Amino acid sequence: MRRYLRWLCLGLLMALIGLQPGCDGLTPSDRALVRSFAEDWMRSRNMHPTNEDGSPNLVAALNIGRRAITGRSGNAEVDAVLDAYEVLSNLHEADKLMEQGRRDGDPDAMDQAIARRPEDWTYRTSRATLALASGDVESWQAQQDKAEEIVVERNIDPVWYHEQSLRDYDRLGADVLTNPQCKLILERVIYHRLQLVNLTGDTAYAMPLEGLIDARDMQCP
Amino acid sequence: MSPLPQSWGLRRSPAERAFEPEPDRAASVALTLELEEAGIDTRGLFLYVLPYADGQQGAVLYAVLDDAEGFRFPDRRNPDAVLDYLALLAVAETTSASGVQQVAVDYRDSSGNQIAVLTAPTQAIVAFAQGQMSREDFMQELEGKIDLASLTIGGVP
Repeated sequence: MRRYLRWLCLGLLMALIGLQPGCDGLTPSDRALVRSFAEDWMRSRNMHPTNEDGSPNLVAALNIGRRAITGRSGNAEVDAVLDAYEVLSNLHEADKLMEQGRRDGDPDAMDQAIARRPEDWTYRTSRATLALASGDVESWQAQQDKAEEIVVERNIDPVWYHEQSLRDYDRLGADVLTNPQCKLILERVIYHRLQLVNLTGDTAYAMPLEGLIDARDMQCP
Repeated sequence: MSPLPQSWGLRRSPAERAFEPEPDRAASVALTLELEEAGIDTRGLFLYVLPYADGQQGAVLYAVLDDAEGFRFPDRRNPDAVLDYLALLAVAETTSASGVQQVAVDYRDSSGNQIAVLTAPTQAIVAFAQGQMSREDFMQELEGKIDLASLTIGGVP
């Protein structure tokens, strides 16, 4: 009887919340971590479908069922946070494309991301850097101009524009010194660092300048 | 209230009403930099600072932990890795400087499926991280949305 009840309870739960078998993609340790913590939290809130001894927890079943039907935690602000991915899904998809572009130096992935979110200044700075590293000076100028235009229009703190630009140039690594655009790239890195010194007063940004100037003058092809 | 007007696009969802349509990208860049400078691997971590709409002060930090994009918890042996990650985000300087009042983590598997979203007020997370709140009390502050399928695979006798 108890065994029957257990499976009945689970079956009802699955029917209520439309469970799908899955989760194969999780690596065992990640899956174990998330599962273990989620179970722990559900037990602490009396929402786990079984008790510690394996018997069905009917109160929890009711709690889960109520949440599954209403989709509510009982707090409108918390509900909005739990569902915030609705407003972020397009952005997250575009971000993934941009990350692929940054990681693999893939201009097509970057262009797809920009097509989804043309007003994202962080995308523009990354695309500008990749264009410059590829010798496409025209695209670099166009993307950089657009990034700066958005930063001004949206009143973005210029510190973060210059920080983002430096991150993009950092990603090019030591290959910069053999790049035909080496001098121009190092000019831009020096420019962004000087801007950050002026904007923040933090002289740490100036520390690598001597080495950068030497590299620009002595090591670039 | 019936969800139909929402699904027909006649009424905005609670999330659409609650937040500005554009996240604060500068805050995300700042927080990512802060974590990287602290030695945290940010691969697969997508940070979104969502300012409240309608002139309401403050924002929500929504972190997507994306396994498919390379996210890994810093210490997989730690059974409270999820809690520690919430704490890591909540105590960051950028988080308080950006007026973040609520932190959420959204864990996604390698297929992009949402496994769990967990959220708590920043103040509560910080209090827990600083030992001013017990784990038991903090669990009551935590709210979540769990994909129960991920629990049932091998999790229910």
